[in-house]
Amino acid sequence: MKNNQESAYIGQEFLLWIYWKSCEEGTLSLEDLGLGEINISVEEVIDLVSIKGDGYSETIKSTDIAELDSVRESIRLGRLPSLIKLRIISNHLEWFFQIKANPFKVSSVKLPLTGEKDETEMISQRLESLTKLDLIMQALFNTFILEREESSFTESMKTFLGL
Amino acid sequence: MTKLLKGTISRTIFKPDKKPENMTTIRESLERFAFKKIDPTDVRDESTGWIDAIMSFDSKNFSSLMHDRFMIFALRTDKFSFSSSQIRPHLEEAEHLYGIENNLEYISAQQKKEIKEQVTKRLKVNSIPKVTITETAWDMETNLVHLFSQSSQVVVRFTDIFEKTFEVNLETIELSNSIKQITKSGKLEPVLGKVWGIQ
Repeated sequence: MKNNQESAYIGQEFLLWIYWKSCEEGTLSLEDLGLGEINISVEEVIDLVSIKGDGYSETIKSTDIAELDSVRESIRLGRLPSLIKLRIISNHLEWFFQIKANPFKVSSVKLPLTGEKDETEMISQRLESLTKLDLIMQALFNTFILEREESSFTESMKTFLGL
Repeated sequence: MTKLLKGTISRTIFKPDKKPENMTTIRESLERFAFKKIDPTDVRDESTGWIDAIMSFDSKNFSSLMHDRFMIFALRTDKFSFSSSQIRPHLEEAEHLYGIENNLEYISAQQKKEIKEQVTKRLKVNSIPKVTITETAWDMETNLVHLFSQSSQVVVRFTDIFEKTFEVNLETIELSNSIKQITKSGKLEPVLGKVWGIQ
């Protein structure tokens, strides 16, 4: 994506969508993409930045962000996620990492424990789990883009936020 | 310890426009641009090149190169650099002594420059360079290159040397690249404004 502005709002929209899904179901089916069911949960931290141009921003820290009414209330007021920490569980494997909206990037990935003692095996497993995470994240992003294209997307989000 | 074995990971992913023909080509390419130690007396302040991903002192054998479908290696940069506050006392002392020895009240700009070069050389001899090692994993199945860093300085340095080493062009891969394939127009309009009634 060459347009930075486009990249910034897509990142924010995606983080909001992830938060929405983690509040509503927490489980997403990526069966069509061969990845089975995955569990997503926004944890530890969420940074919210106002889109109303008033310069407001806040960082909320909690073990379970999805359970906090204050986060939803802040979003309702037009403060959107600019950074979240996300836990993904798929097939007994668990990843924990940070996603920033702008630049739109995944970072500080904590990989599933390998349980291996052999270095060669450990490297192979860590590389495999990184590529598995890439597939999951791409599938999540593509699912978001497809949902976003639906005419009911905006109304569904408004209903979720109670707007 | 290498990030391939331990720790959290931040990456930049690239797609080269072609794959190397075989292992021999990869090894030869890496050897051509292998890391060379920088000598403190060298005029250069920095040296960058490839090393083995596990044994950071090895820039010849690349014995850990092949890992299943991945080629793993690392980029090493050794750099001598001193902040102005590190140099200041040494520089002021050298200028002071030069003035006394040559009975000068004023030292010319050219002379000050030469004194600074000598001071920096002396500091280099008495110090060790700052070392940066960044792991790389090239997935031969997907032809994606994973650089274990998001630092813009490292990304620029890596892109330059990788493209020269393997004679390829690198394209950065991002999650949002798929928008073009998924949407009909290849472009998206913001929807958040509609939710909050902002234009």
